[in-house]
Amino acid sequence: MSCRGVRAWLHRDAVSLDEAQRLVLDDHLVGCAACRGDRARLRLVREVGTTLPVPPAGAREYTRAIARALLEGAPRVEPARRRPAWLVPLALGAACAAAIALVLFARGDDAPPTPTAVAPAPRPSPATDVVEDGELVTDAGTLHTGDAISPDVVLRAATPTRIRVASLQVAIAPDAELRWSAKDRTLLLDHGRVEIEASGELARVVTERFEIELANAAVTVGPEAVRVRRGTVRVSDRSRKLLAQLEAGSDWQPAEETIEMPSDPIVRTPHPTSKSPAELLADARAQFGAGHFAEAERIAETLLARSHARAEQAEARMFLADLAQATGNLALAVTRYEAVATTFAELPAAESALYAAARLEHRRGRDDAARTLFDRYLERYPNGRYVDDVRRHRRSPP
Amino acid sequence: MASLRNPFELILLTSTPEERRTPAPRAEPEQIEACRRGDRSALEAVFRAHAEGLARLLTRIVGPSVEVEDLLQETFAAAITAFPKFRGEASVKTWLHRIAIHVAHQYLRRPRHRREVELADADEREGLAGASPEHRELARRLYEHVEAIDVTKRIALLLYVVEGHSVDEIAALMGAGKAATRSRIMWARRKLMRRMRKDPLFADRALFGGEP
Repeated sequence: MSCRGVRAWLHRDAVSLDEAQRLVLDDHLVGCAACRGDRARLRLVREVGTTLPVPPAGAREYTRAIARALLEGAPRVEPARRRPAWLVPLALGAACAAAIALVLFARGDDAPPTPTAVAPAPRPSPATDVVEDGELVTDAGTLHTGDAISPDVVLRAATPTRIRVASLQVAIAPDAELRWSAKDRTLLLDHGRVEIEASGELARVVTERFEIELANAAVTVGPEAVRVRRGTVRVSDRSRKLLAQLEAGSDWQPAEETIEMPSDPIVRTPHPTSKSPAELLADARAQFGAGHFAEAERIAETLLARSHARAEQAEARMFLADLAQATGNLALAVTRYEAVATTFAELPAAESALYAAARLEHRRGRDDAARTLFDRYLERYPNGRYVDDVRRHRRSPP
Repeated sequence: MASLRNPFELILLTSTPEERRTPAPRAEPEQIEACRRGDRSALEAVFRAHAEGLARLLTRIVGPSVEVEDLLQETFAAAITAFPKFRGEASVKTWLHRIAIHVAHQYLRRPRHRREVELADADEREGLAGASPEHRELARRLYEHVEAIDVTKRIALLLYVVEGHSVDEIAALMGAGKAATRSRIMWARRKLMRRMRKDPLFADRALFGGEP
């Protein structure tokens, strides 16, 4: 058989071939050095690929990835149920306006209908997501005036920049970092401040601690404050619990501590003393995953009181810091991360803690504090696992 | 035994394709329904059951990278958003793998210098730290060659050769036709072989590749 005929079998184990295929392949390989070589190389590709190490099941990396995904990717509730009541009159008004426009045009003489007579306006296509003025830095390069904005791409403004995404006109302050999710019509504000003019469709702005819904309004949004300049805006926490409904001219700031209590009552039974520290931590994480933050904290503190092993102490304290971050108490989270980085400097957790503290400070807009922590990270872990990210943040403008 | 010159021969004989032999953790219908509703404990349970498999898949596609935890997080976040649309036609495992492949594809399309992956020192940071010097060097060089292949073709090839999937399975996982998938694998393999033949590290492998 020709080389072409046996090519599909070269990377496979002898045991995965049937007898006939094996015989044909063996016959071919005896006389074909090129296929023997390719076979060895393909098998090597597989060997190397299959032996790349990954953390074992239950490793901290997985817990962290899951916890952060659950925090970031909070499931979307059905839009119909989320539509705020105050939008109903708005929709009725729009419908009336459209009807009046149609009647007027129907009664008009010979004037041909213009495109503006068509109502309601079609949903803006993704092509309308553009940089209107200024520059944005993305991982793929710099976007200039007139460039299209791809969804779900991290955008960083080096200078004051204006963009248009769907029905939102957004003025981005320098150093702000955000993403646009066209699918959800959501602007994710990771860092810095934006001014938004919204007209028409309902859109959301999500920050680390709260989110707002707006349709026909003008607002200024930062990580720590909302100012409404026009219209009405709803503010809710990350679990979509309504925190405030703001009218034009009003300001709002999140409370310093917005611990999210579970909706279902927690039965506060003493935790079984027979449980090992690992089991306690697993319980705490399960409670965390279920949104029972207070209970998760209580279990982690039980673990701290019981265990004297430094690795377990570090793990539990990291968990408490993650918990503080998840519940919106960023100041406390930074303090806890820094404590882990200092107290358990010899353990791998210290590196993650120092990095997390620096990133959080950066997100809070405390650039000096962030810079100090990033510098400390680079000094302590010049070849650390987050070093590229730290350097990138260190280079970004203050 | 001539094959013992190959340090990975034992692993090769005993472990491939291990994922396909590992029974997929089956999610109960109630659990899936809870995930669709956005129940955090159900989502966490499903993600925990699949985290290691997904991390392995992502590692194999992107190489020994420190980004895998982030990619895993992206995969889970995408799954949370997409769960209400999950119809249960495929298993949860297949569905999550499909999402992970998409996430890896998006990631690999970013310019390399932006990906913050420096294979040169990735082994010191994690992943390859425990591997033998030879394995480190092989992995690093192999993924350098793999990087030269177009992303879509590269993923198809790695799913075929490393993951041990069939062309049909890859076509389903990547949302492509069978003919296109076959063609991608062929071109990717041709390019990879051409590069490896020129690389002394891999050219020498032909010496012990004679055993049929």
